[in-house]
Amino acid sequence: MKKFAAKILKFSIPALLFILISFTYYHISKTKVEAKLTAFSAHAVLLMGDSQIQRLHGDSISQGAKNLASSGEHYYFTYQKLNALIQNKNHRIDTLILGVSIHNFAPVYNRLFNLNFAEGKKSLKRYLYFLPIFDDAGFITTFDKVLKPLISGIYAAPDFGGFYESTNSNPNEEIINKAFNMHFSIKQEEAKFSHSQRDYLYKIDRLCSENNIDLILVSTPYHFDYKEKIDRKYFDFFSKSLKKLKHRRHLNFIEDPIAPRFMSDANHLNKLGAQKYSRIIGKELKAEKRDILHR
Amino acid sequence: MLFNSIDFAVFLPIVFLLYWLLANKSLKLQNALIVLASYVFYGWWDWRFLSLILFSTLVDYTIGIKLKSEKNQTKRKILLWTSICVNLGFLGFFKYANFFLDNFTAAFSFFGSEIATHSLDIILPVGISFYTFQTLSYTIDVYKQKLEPTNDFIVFSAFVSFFPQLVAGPIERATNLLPQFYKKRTFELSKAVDGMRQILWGLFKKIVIADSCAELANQIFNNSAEMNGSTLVLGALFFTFQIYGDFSGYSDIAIGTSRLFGFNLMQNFKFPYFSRDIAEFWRRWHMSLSTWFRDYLYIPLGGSRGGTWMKVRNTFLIFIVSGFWHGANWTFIVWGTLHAIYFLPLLLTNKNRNNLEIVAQGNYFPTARELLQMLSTFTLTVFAWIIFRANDITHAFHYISEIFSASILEAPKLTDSKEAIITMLLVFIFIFIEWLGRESQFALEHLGLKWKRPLRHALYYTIIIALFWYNGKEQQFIYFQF
Repeated sequence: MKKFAAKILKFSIPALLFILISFTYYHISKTKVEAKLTAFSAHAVLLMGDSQIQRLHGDSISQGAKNLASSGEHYYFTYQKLNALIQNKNHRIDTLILGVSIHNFAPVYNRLFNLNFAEGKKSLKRYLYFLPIFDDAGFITTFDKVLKPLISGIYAAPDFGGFYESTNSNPNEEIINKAFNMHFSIKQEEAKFSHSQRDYLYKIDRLCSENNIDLILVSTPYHFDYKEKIDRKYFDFFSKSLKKLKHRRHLNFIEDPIAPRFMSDANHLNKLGAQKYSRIIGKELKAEKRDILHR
Repeated sequence: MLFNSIDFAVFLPIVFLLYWLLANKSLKLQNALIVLASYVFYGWWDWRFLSLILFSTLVDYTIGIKLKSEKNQTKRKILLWTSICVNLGFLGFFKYANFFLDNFTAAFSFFGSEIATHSLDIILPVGISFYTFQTLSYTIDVYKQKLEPTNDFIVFSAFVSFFPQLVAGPIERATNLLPQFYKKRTFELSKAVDGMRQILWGLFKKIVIADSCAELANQIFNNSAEMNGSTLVLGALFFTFQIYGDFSGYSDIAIGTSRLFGFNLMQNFKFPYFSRDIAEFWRRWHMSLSTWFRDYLYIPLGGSRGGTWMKVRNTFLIFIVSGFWHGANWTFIVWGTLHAIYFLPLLLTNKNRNNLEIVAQGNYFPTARELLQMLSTFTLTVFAWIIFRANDITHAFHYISEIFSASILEAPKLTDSKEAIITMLLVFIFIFIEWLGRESQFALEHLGLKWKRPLRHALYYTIIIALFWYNGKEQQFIYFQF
């Protein structure tokens, strides 16, 4: 028995070393991440959300605004990022411009928040450094299926998000269908609507209230063909979900008749479109006498 | 509890340490610990069904004792049939009630009279087909006086519920496993190390091979109406390796785990895809079940004695029952019948015991004839797996029809062709390793033993890394549903 234990121990040395190295690496990286978050928290205006908002020019909206939105970001991760940002007691964040749209409540967002799906595992890898490992959010419910994204998450660059620009325009039917299927197809009997998105949207709202951050909701336009494909039930769910956030300013451009030359694909503005709408949003905010430009 | 879960990774070392460090002074204590661990292992899934195992244990234990003292042949027969009825009654109710109900209703409506029935909402207790057959083997052997009944309830409980093989076999014979509970078990280093190696290989088969193949097989079988013939062939091939990796992987983990506790379980798979004919395939596939049917059904029915008609009848019967054992679906019955048809020419020409030795024993390569034989047997097996995997007979029919259409000449279409190519590569590596190890109990048994330690450990670490890499596609073991 002793010999067996010794053999097992000897065999396990490389694995134990790897675990030790990973822990050390994680802690070193975590310190770097925190330093970066501290730097971001010096911005007064932040843009957060998914890839739609990622296209907007922060400076056109408000001088010095920082875009931290990222493609396919579930609000749970936005919430965790924001939470990490305001951990810095000297943060200067006073306005959060959050992307909110109809597809944000589509089934794909259930998969992005579920470790049984490849999308969920990717989320873990991207946001590991922002997550509390033991929380009751229902995201990390087991370590069984997540070892690979967990380990690769330690060694991967965390997804802080950031501005993204596309010069594509006039998307064709195939591109629109692809986006539509990605958002709205139900893969494995997951729920039709993403209730977890709604829950975390409200949590972001509460977090903003508790920290005196002005939350502004922004919905950028959709390509007409994409919009036409969406089941009306999603529009209803969207409206109902936002009713609880009536106290927040909502700049809704979903119904805008936008020319395809401003769109890079089904639901994303291209460079031209982003310039146009960033200016509009900036003006709207100024017109509302929200003097965020000179804060 | 699943073998490929964190729960088991925690459970096994705890039980192992308690078994060898605390309970090693007394055989009784070791057996009691096995019973306790087995009930925890099973109850982890659903504790309510522990009562079924306990009831089955009590019935067969009592009947076993009564069979010993009872001299009256009629009463002995009654005792035997009580055990058979109780065990098969549970099995029949939990596994086949809805099947019979649905077919009964369908038969009536076929003849024009509608009867209103509702399918019962029954959960199939995991492993019921396995432990039922195991306890039955005990009672039958005691009845036939091949085995002394046990007076030790803990020993008998441990035999029925022994956790490594409780839910998916190998279906152990009382004559092999029961005496091992009476023997003092001392820790053997080589046995334990061997057991670890077999567990590692079993996990590789399950997590890397079976689960990767499962994703693709499910994708193709679930959308078969939209797939062309060549994609469907790929689907069948993926399923072929999924079911082998899944089931033989489970058996390897079960046997390896038993070795850690000082037990020897019977071999359940002997590289069946290298068989040169269907008879050989059945001597190598799920051996604990095929030999069970041979000993407790085929031979009592007369076996091959009594002329050609009886041989054919018994062969068909055993294959059909074996198919039906897998589940309450016509697909399994047709699958079993198809194998009986495959088997028939060999039986009638007395060639069913031609290939008893290991293929290309002592050589690296098979002869052209052996290769051809293996390929043709493999093709027949793959074809039969389509029926086994299909949702129902209609699905199987459409699937096969599409394979035999012009679309077989088109290139396969998969949503993720990169993943399919990687999986195929993994399967090739797997076949290669299995071929190298085909003269051993399991492929990894002797592989690398003569290598220098760092190299050997590098091989094991490669497997472990692959396990972590592929962990997460986790699928339930297929045979849990049987």
